[in-house]
Amino acid sequence: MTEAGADGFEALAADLAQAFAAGVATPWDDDAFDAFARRVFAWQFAHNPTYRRFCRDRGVTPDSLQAWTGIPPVPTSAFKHLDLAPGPLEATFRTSGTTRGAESRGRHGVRSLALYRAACLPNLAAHLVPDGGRLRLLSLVPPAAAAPESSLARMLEFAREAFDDGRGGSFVAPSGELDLPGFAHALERAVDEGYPVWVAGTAFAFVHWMDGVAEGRVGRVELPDGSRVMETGGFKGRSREVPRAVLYRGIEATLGVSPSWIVNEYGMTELLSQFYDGVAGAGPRPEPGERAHRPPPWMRTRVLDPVTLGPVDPGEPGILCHVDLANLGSVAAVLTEDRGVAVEDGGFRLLGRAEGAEPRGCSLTLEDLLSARSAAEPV
Amino acid sequence: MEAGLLERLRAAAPSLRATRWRDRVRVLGRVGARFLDDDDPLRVRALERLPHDGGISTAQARWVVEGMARDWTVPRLEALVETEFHDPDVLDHWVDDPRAPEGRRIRAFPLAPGPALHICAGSVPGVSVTSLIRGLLVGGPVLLKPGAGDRALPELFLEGLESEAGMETVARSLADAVALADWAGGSGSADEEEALAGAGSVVVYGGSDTVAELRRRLPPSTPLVEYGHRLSVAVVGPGAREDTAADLAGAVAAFDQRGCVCPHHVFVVGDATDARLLAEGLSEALEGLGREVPPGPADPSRASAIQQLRGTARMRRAAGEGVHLWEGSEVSWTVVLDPSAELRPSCLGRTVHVTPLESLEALDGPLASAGPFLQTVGVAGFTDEEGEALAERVCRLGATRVVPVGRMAFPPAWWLHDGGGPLRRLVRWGARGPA
Repeated sequence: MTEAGADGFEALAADLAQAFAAGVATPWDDDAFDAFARRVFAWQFAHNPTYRRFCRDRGVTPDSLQAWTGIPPVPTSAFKHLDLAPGPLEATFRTSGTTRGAESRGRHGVRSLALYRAACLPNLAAHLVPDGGRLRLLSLVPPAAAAPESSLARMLEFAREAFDDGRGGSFVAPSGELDLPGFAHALERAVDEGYPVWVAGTAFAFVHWMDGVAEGRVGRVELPDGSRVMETGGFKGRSREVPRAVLYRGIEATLGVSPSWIVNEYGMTELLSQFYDGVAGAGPRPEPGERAHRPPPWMRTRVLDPVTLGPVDPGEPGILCHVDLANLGSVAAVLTEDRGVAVEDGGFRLLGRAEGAEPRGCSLTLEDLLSARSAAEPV
Repeated sequence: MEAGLLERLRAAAPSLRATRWRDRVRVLGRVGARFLDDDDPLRVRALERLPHDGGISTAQARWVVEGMARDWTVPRLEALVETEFHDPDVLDHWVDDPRAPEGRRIRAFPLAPGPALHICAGSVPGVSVTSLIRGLLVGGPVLLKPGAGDRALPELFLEGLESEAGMETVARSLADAVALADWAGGSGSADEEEALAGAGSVVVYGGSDTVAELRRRLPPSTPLVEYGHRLSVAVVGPGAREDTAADLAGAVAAFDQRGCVCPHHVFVVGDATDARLLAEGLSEALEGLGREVPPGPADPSRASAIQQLRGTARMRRAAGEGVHLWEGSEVSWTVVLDPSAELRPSCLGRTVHVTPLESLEALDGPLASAGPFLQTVGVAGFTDEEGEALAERVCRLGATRVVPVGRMAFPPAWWLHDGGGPLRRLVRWGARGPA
């Protein structure tokens, strides 16, 4: 049996965690990022045989690597086909796959939840709890114990441990349905106590809440000053889709939280670090669609031309390719299908996926087929 | 949508009804043939507009126009009508039906009184014209909403029809009985509501969501003819000839694979080496064809999907899954040799998987998953006997057309489109008799 840490993972993970602990306020200079990225790449090259062959086929080795931008990225769809994390795992996160069949769900093995926690907390603290102290975290995401494969649930578990006053909770019933009455009750209690809360949930969960208010099943509230909202994720067919600006107006109208206190988190199962589009309560900010997401210092994003995979000209849209050093245990460089435009300071404006924008023929798509299959599967 | 359009089409119905099918074929075929005449301004303008309109290359535009317009000519339209109806005169008047035990007289009418609304949600150039021709052949007015990317051909076809209308009354009747409509997509627009409420019947080409939404919104009494998105594959046997790869490349590259008749996946009955040889040949053929008929401009979302596919194929190869990748420059074409017998719908843009299968019986696994979506199965390299068994097998699974791979991309006018007669699906039978 391999002795824990014998492959060098623990030592490198500890170095990374220490660097992450310095927080997100001070950017890393190019050399600092590059040096860490090389160490991460070298570890992955040495310990992940599949990735090593993939890189060799691309002509890239740790010795030949010119800069972090040359680390071969793995496409997100590869997470659906392969286990990309070698060695013992503490968890496996899976993409939700709500509109696709189960076979198309991506999976991301996590070797160290401590490193995941180290990547999550400073970023969360800087964007959601910049004023420090403890809040009450009311979550519209299942608890991690009920959803062990959800990276979001786990992240909010870290947040609960670090920032909750002990009286928050998750308002998702075992069936997976939102517990709207329980959530409404917790909101009312916070209002009565004048205690600021942090409401976290996916965009579709907030739509369900807003629909509940509109239909009179629950009542709107005016949360105490300093209350904030973190919304994340898309709609994925689980509620009616609403433009983000409308969503934010709805949140303001039903929870009394103004858009300047609403922060979007852009994360993905395939990455263990997250992007945020601003700091809660930091004053007036652009309209939701105009806000830029920024990575923590240990993450960098390139905007690539989808045809050539070369960098686009500044200001041009392209697909996002991230290098996340928190992905030490799997693959750090990940090519997504998300589109965006680079902005200053390493951030980007998300444009979303351009599905269906092109002229479509009458040929069936994978999406059509998987939707049909999942519709036929017993729930 | 122009005010009073539906009313105008309704008013044109009696005059159209008074024309004979042979005359309708003659006029429509005359207009259609103009798209095959190099010197005809209609064809010249079609070739000018199609690359921009359809997002395809100039050479692809020429290929598509020739492939589609060949079926808009008099001999092919005559063959269509005569294949569809035992006695085509049934489109013009009551005829005897001696096959009925006590005898009877029958007559084919358009599916429902009132204009037929043809909604072409796809963008395969030429589909809209084929659809409107079918509607006019059965003698009913047509309101056509062409697909995005397929506007030039129907506009020019109607222009051609209008120019004929000055010369003879049948052409006048036809030109008066067809119109193009457009409304800003999205369900619920006033134009769309008006068209759906006023249509006698509806023909729709589109994806599952489009069809389901339409079904939900149409009055239950309005007949709906559905052409949903479909998927085609090829099956290659041990007797395949050298030109099979070239035939396959043509089927993959036609319409840049947007057509439901274009193969997504090629199954090779044989071992891994057979499949690899075919994949190599197909790659070479796609590269060669790409020089003659380049793909249209790459759309960002499709290019992104192709990059995901390629990167994943490389990772799977690195993982020892026996996957091999061949690719053209940028995202011009992609061939993935994939030993896992799972049907892989293509992300299009000349992207195809090749998989070895031990036997024809092994087709059941991958094809069963496509079930009702399965359409054309292109075949090569089988004896007649094997071909018959293969056809029986794949049609039981859901396929509706089994043809040589070289004929996949351009089905003839009289093909059984998704398993139904293209004109017979547009008519309602009237019967008069003793019982």
